Amino acid sequence: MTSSEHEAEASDATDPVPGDQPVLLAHGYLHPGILFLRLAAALRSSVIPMVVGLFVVEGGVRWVVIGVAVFFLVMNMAYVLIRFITFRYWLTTDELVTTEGIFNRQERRIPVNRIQDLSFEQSIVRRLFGLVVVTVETAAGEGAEAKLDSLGLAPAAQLREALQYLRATGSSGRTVTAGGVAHPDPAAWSEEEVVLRVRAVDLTMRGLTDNRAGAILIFVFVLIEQAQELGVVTRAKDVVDAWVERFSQLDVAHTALVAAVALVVVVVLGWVVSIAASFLLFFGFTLTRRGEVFQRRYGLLTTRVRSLPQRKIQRVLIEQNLLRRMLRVAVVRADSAGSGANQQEEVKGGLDVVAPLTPLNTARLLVPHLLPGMDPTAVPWQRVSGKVVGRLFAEGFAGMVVVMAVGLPTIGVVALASIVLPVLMLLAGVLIYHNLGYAHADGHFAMRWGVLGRYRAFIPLRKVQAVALRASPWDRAFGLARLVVYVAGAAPTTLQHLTRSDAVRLQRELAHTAARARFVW
Amino acid sequence: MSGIDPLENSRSPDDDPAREPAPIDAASSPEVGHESAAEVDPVAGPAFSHEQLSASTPEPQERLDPKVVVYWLVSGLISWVFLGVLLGGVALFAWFKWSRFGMPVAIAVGAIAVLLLVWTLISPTLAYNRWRFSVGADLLLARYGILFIEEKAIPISRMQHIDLYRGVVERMLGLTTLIVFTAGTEGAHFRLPGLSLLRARELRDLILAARGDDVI
Repeated sequence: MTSSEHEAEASDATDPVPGDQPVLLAHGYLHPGILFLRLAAALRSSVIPMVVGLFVVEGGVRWVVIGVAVFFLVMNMAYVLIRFITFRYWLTTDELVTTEGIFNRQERRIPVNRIQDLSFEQSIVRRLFGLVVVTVETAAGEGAEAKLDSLGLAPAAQLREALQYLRATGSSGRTVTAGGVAHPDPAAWSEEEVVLRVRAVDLTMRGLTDNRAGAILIFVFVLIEQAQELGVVTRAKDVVDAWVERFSQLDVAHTALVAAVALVVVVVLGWVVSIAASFLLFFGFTLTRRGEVFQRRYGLLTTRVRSLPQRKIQRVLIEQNLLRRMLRVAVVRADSAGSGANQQEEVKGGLDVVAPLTPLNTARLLVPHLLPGMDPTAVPWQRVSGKVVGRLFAEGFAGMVVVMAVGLPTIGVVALASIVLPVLMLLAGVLIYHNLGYAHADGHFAMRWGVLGRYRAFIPLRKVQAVALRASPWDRAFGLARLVVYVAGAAPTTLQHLTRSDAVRLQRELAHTAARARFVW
Repeated sequence: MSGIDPLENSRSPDDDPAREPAPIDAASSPEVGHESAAEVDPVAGPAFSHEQLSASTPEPQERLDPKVVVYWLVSGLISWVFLGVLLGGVALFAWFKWSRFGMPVAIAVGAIAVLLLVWTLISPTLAYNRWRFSVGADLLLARYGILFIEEKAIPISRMQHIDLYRGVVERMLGLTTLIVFTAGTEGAHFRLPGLSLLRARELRDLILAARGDDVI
């Protein structure tokens, strides 16, 4: 598709065919329901000044405060109203255009082939009003290019269909237009097929295997601390003191029992919270594909529809923490260039998740969908240098020497315990050697790591931006080096503990292959 | 796999600072690249061997303009002067105002300032001795770093745009920094310092010619 796109572009530029005008595919305005939401938001933000004005300050100041609050409320609403009245958008076969404003007329034009992603988000309130926020993202990477907040359901669907149609027919689908109306070309317009549907069982499992017990513990501590800070519960302190006293009278077995019960409560609480979070975010997760574009629909209260063009994928990760590895289930994520949102937003909204949780075998089957030509079951894994064992042992030994040198004169014989350090590091070295792996196969760079959990990353070489080789003095003492692979949409991937010669060879292979593979956004 | 390194002895591009700088054949390399690109399909084809690949892009062996040492020295000294004034102030203050710990603190701070000065004086030469780069048919290769050695390979077809940058000191010395930008946010640009203006322009044109119009 991409090459035909370029040809189409090129031919457009050189010899425009007469009568081959851009065709209007969709157009519209914001949905009136947004006015209610904006009004509610404006009222909410003016509540505090109002309350202050009415109940806190007295005399002339009161009216000034209230006046200012009312003034800002009115201005806010006027702005919202003007924006609502003047906002228009339309999509042609060439570009998406939005305009707004009366005096400062603002017009934004986004060429269709620059549009990376059209995502849809409905919070619970917007669902009540039948509204949806449409975000247009381009490869620029710095946030959304345009935000249509909010459209009605039907216009949003129309916009999506039109854009998908354009994608399916190449960037300008003018060949199949007749009488100013676009007709989908049946050959290019493939049906939407479901790739993955995540069941409730999977989401429950995701919650159960999510390591949140620790988070709950912190939460409980914070709660107690807050309660003390506020002094709300001096009685609670008495109660706690009484409990502590009672515990101190118990024997060891009983104390252990109570501790165990407390632990179980924390873990169960952690599970409940995790399962709830898992359902809230990913309820009804469905991954579908239509041609080269994937689409994810998910969410319980806030529902999201996000597309993910296959050619945009920069890296695919199959992630298993310890529990998930034992249960043979995995999370699949895909990083994409210019997904707009920042890292935090991405994690919070599950923007990069392709499968919230799925059996490992399914996860493996998913990879060739996302990265054509990459078969994760037949990767010729290679190990890193065996020198990693010696290196970690040396590090442990050095650590022991330092601890002994400092410890023996100060804390005495206890410092001898540091003799376990080299042993532990040796063990770690062996484990790392057995688990760390890499491969260069099928036009992809693959890497797996993790001693307890298991993580695999697959990077299509056509997306690689640079390959670096790094060696610290300590690395060089062991003849080792690390390889860093840069892609546009994600943090660099680092492979440590390679023999220098292997690292050089791998770097050159990856870089040359990347250089010869065509890069498309 | 573990202990055996077939290439360990055959070729070690890193530890050979004495190698003679040899300018690459700028005119012929792009064609070589296009021919080999047509032969091998990067997705379906077999992985390239190290030797095959080295043919199209030479190992980094071109050195920077020696005047870059002066540039680094001057800019290093300028920033050292600022820091030195600050540290000297701290040392003097400690020496005269703090009764008990004044002298040791002043000596320590002074020692730091002197060490920084020594580093400022020797690091340009060390960096210059390490720096090697090459521009081939499809890659820009560069090796640099004093303690932490880094070797970067940037596919020319990934370069979004190229800047030539000349600061005040660089202009006085007739030097230019070539900056190449790739997509992405982290590690998305690379600076190749210490080029003569002529060589920088040559390299830019060479890269643009090798890149073609492949990039959107």
